[in-house]
Amino acid sequence: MWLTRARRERARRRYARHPFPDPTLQRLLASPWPDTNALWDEVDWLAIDLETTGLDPKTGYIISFGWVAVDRGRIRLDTARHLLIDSRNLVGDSATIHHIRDTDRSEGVDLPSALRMLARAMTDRLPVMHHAPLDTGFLRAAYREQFGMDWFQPTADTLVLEKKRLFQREQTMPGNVLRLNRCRERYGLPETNAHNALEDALACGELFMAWARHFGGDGPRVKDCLSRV
Amino acid sequence: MTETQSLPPELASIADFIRQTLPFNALPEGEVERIVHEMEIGYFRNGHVFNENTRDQGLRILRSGAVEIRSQDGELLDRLAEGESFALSGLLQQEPGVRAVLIEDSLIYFLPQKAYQDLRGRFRDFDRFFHGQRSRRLFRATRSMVSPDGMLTPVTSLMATDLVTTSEETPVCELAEMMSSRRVSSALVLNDGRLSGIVTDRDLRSRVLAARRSPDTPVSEIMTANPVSLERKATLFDATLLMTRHRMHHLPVLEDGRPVGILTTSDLITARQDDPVYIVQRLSRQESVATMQTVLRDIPQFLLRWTDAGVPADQVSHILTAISDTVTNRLIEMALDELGPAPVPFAWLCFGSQARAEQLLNADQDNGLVIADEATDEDMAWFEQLATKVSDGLDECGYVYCNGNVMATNPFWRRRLTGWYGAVDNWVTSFSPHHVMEISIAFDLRTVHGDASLTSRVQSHMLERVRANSIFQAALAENVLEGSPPIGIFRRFVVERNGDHKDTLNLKKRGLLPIIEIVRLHALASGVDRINTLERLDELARGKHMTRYDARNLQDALRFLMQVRLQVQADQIREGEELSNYCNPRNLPKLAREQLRDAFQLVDSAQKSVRLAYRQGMR
Repeated sequence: MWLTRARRERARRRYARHPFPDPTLQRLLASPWPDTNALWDEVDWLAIDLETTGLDPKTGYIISFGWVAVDRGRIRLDTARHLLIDSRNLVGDSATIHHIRDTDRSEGVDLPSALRMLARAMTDRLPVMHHAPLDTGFLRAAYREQFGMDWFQPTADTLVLEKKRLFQREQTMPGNVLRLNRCRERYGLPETNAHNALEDALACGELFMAWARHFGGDGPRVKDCLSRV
Repeated sequence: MTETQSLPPELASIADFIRQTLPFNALPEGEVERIVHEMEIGYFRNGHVFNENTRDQGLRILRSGAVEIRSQDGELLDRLAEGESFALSGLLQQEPGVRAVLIEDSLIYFLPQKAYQDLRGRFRDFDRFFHGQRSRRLFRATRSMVSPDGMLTPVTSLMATDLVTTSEETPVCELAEMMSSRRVSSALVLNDGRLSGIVTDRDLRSRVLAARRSPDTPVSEIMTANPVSLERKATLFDATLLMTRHRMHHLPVLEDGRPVGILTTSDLITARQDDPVYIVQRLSRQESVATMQTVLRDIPQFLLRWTDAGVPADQVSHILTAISDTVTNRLIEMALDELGPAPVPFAWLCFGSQARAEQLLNADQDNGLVIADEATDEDMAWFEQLATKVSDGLDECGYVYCNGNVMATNPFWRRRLTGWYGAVDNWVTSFSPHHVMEISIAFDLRTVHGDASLTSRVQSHMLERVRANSIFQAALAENVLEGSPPIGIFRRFVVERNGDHKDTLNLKKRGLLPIIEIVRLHALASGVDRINTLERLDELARGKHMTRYDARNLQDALRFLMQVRLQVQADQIREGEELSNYCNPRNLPKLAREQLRDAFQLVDSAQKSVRLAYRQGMR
């Protein structure tokens, strides 16, 4: 976490001297480091999921975004968004590089607008994802590529949190116990036959709440939720 | 903008879930989608409590998990599971201090108070669902039934559903063959499941034979395309109007563009025959048991029509009781023709369900005779002959001999007036538990034929004696408490575990009889002389022997249980099964299942209050 924080601080200082031209992004960059001693349900979170082609941000491309806010311990459906990224203008080579199949092509929002909307949603919220490294990698690459912005935000990863919880109790762990639906099952959450980004974001948000409610005591503090990077 | 912007797909799956729950399923299209955006989702652990101090009041829908609603003193009021919902603000108004305790980890969809109240304000059915917990839900079920008024009965009650359908390409000769083998006078032509035309006998005559067309002509050439049709909800009045206006004899009935039945002019003419007045009239004109049997044979079919037409169960029972009264009367008249006039005044009594006008099909006979005191022993022998003739006739007409031998043929139930007084005195002073059950049926009595003043003297004697005797009341109360409603601690139905009726409930024994017995007990103890259970309840409330609220609740529960039992029997008739009072709750629609639970819970609380009220006399 200290590394994220250091990188973020550096970016912040840099952008403080030369404010970022886009006010939406500037606001995200300027948002303060969270109070890590606060209880999880005293702060606001944003459950995010991306659908991408491939696993490598260098060659993959974001097809869609889904997010929903988990504010003060509850999911607010009015914040739910599902954005398909317009990939029609990616033709020829660039489409091949990004592994965009014809079936992935869709009408939608262009990537910079989507990133701006996400930045607005993330302002004053902490991202939550299931298996975060993949998504943060794509996000960081996209923000840099589109805006030249260094995006570092402390995030919670439900997969990591769940793994930690299970490891405290069990020694061996079969391969797929950390799959989103398997995790949800353990908390009595209904099965989702997800496969779009918003469904996954919602499923992840619900899992996050369930995990936190099972934490014991008053619930986890923010620092208990955030991942080391 | 794409569709995903206005309603993200995952929200659509939340909306799908909500749309399947009560009472959201009754909201117009688009409303659920609209409110989903205002909702929040929360996850709470087993043991979490929502009460008056809960910050956000509004509607909570259980997506998964379970919750118990408990009163201030911790009494379990209700238990809700996935798909069910509760609004604390409403519950608190009814029952101060009420709280909702999660008994499983639960995922809860929350609709904030403002949006919830907005829905209640705009949709009456939605509002009524939450307007109070169980009594109101039942209320809605029993009161919203249509009362059929001849021409206002829906066409579905009369239409033929055995449709002959064909496609446009079928050759006319094939269709004609099909129609004659199925003995129908019309066939519907479908295109892609939708009605595209109709062919009648008359079309075959005038457009094929008379026009000298080939038998291989496709149906589409001779059919009446896009025929005038009716929606399922239309009434017989609409149908008659359409038929006269368009001078046609066949009206297809559609549901969402697809044919579900057909109505003909002759259906409309025969419609009058199932009018109960007509049946009673016909019965009273019959000269022999055999001809009465033929009239009675059609009763099950009539019962189907009445139920399909939405005649409420208590009215169906009234009609069936009127029919058995008529049969009995007719049999007595026939016997009098044979035996000559009665030597002394008498009253032919009926007991039990017939007396209460709560009969259904396959009722057995429960009857007796009150004979004027001046009757000699010779006269008594005459009455024995009368009893035998009538009782045999009833059995032949389908009112089988009573198992418990409660029949005028049994001297116990055939007495002089003073004999009845003595019998009643004897019942209330020296009784055994078994005895109480046996004779309790006699407290529901009514004159079918003869001198009604004899009956009312027996009845007032009974009321006087029972009213003054709290020990006998307690014995009746104990009898009432014997059958308990089939609801387990968690509002689950307790069904039969084995035998022919596995997984079913006996609606009569576990639901109807307890109510009837409770009400009878209250009526006897309060000196109410009505016999019909609903009327007894009205009278009990009027005389302040019971709160109007409790009386209404029991009436609603009774009406509902009668309705379910009627529906069950109607289904049994349709399936050609033997008639019974058993019902598998799983076969009921969701709302009806809930209402059944509510009804049983009302029976349960009525039993509890009996326990309190008559405890002093109990051992």
